[in-house]
Amino acid sequence: MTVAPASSRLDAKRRLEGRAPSICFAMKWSNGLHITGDNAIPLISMRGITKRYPGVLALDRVDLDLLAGEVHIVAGENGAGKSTLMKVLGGSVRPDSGSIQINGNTVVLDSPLKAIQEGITVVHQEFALCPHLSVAENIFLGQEPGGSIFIDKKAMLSRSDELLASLGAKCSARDIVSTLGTAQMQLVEIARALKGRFHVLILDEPTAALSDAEIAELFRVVKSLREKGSTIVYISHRLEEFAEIGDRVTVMRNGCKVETMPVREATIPKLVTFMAGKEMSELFPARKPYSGAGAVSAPDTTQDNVLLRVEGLCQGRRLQNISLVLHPGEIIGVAGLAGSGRTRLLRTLFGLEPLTGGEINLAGARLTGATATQTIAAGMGLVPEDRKTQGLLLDQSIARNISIANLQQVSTGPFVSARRETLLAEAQKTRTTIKAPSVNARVGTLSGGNQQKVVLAKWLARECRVLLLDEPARGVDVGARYEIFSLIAKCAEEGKGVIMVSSYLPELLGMADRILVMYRGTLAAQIPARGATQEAILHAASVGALS
Amino acid sequence: MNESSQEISPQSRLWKIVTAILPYAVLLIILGVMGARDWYRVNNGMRAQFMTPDTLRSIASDCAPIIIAAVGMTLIIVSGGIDLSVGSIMGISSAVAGALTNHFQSAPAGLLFGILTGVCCGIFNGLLIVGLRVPPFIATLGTLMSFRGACILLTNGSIFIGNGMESSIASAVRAQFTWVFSTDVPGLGFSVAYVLVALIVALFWVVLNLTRLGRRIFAIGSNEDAARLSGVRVAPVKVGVYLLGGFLAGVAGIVLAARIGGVAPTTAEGYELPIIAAVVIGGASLSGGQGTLSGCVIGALLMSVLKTACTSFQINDAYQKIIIGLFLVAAVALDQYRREKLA
Repeated sequence: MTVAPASSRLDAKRRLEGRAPSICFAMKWSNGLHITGDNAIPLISMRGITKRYPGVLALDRVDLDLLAGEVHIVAGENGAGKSTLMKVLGGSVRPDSGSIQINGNTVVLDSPLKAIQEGITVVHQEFALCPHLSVAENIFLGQEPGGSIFIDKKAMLSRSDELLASLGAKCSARDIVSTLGTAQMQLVEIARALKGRFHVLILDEPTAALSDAEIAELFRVVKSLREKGSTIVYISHRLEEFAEIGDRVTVMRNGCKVETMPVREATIPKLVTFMAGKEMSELFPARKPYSGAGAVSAPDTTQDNVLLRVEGLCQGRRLQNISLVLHPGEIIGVAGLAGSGRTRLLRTLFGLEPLTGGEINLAGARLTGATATQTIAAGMGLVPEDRKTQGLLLDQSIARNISIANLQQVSTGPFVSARRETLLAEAQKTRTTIKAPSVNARVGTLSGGNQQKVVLAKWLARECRVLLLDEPARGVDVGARYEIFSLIAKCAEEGKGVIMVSSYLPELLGMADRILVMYRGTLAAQIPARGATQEAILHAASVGALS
Repeated sequence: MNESSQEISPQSRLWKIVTAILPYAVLLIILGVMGARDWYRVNNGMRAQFMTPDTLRSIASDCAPIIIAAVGMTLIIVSGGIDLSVGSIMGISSAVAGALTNHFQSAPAGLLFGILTGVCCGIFNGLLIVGLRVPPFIATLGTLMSFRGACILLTNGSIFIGNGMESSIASAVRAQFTWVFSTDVPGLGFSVAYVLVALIVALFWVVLNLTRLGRRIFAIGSNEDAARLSGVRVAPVKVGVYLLGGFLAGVAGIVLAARIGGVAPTTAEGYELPIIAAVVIGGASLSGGQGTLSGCVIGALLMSVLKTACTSFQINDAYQKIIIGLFLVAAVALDQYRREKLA
């Protein structure tokens, strides 16, 4: 444990205590006045923050004011500089120039410890948990209660349980972190930030991995923290959340601050324009119906126009009796809470998980019990949930990432033709609008959106007939998201069938023809997307039936 | 969108070039220094020590078995695995080759069975790793010991080729056994072994860089899950890679035995370390997905040249070990630095 000199610790303590009344004052004052940002005294004010990394200006003279007791949303596409700015505030990145004032006093935040002493605490986007330790051990990692040698385990457990209960977490302090789901891990991470004293809590894209019910729970926590007087900085690019949770929004683009505005003025078209730097009439592309053989427009269930037929699919208790049909040109959206079996359904269809019952037929060919290699040969493609660990060869080129699923196409006998490999990759790069200097660029150097396009391109190069997409727009910025959705819509126009899983209901409502709702491994409901509401889907996903 | 992904700065491009040619440059510098020293010695009436056909031939001959085995190790490391048992496979292959050569009183059959033994050992490793899901490090650490035990049982003391044969037959069989080193390629003035090494490197360069199998090996080493999700049959490819590794270790074993002219229980003991070092100095990543055959050849040559240079400077064995050890660490540290720089 790091021990600061006694005087500086006292100093920090005094400053922390000294600030409390002024915060209360500022809060009442600002609540009464309705924060406008012009005349309120900021709790924290960042001025002219600049940070340059080799080859890129991450932050360019950014000014940001945080008022006491507000929820301040920082929005922007990936790479806009949101996270870097928050790392500066959290003390883990030192800016090249610029100053930070807290309550009018200039401070130097040169380490995370210093920021914590100043009352700033950060919940980072990437989980920094030790998977083999218990929840309590993770929450108190490095700051275990007790004497200098032994840990007061009782205090640690009870305090952890208190924190978890206040967050509405379902896990216990004794659980091992690796056994938890993503949402629970997120809550453990937040509990860790909440255990100390703080005035400013920074949440870096906390909802990226959460389902809607979990997001609602998180929002409740955020609101109660604000009522207790904390300032919350909330980084996100889910525009629809802003109105519900935020007081003010700051939009960033390419390392610069574009605008700070009260949340009620921040309409979605306005935000999109600010974030993308260009007008975007809609978030989702218009769908043109597929009109070829077996078009879905006439809703009949005859055998011949079904692309994929799944009957009574079972996998132990995890998937129970799932039946569905997918028509050419149709996009099926799969909704459900985290752990409801959505990802498992896709993986099982793709031949990655064994099935214990049921039938899978793709255009008449039986795929029950087929391996991934066989389902791919039959015309399936899977865009997995996590592109970095499952979708991409990060240290290899775009060309090799695309060719690995298409080696037959680019080889003569056992030999791969580098020329044909490059041609194939070039064609797919153009088709999927991948932005990269060349197809020889390493995939690991691309932005999230372009990486996802590479995963898609791999399957588009095969002209596969059924696309299984698991969270295709996760961690992808607004501009690239639109392009990815356009590609998906185009696939459907060409008569491919698409099954798309998403935790983000507007995506499903905007893209899908039909929405399947999963609940604890079963298919709880099938709803035509036209006329479906978020409430109806959420209800089915939480209780297992339509209301 | 992200500009950092689009531009490669001139500095990092320079770095890329510098670090890519560095192993070659170091090799040339050492050779240059030794050449200059010889030139000085000759001018002062002494004999050249390093730049002599004998010394160079001895370096090449020392390297031959290491390079052959390192080719197999490169395949394995690129696929994300490791084979610690390579020295023991070399040992057991040479022991089988020696014992059967004496048994048949004819070398070709013995050598063939030696190589087959290597193939079987490789398949065994592969099945442990793929079938029983034992991590490669542990599986081959185990077989490192077991194969060595089998080698000791087989040799039962040293095997002297031609033992128990009539002297005329014995010398003929010995000549067959050591054929790769004792025979010069007509018109070239060096032994068949070097041609064999060159052929093996060329063949496997083609396999690794131009074939579908090569692409799959790289893909599995880079990200096994992504490879599987792209339709690569991971299990057979992995077993195949260990099979090839075993095959090459078998060939390396009989080449080594041919150089020594016999087999001992300790033949190739500890060889796994210089072999892995050669691959790593050549720029392969132990986490898989990266590595080149030219790199492993340079790595093996570098170590051998460094060692010989040390000897001719009369630096004793203990210091040589220290120097080569530090050299290995420096090479990997540099490579790591380069990757961070380029990331």
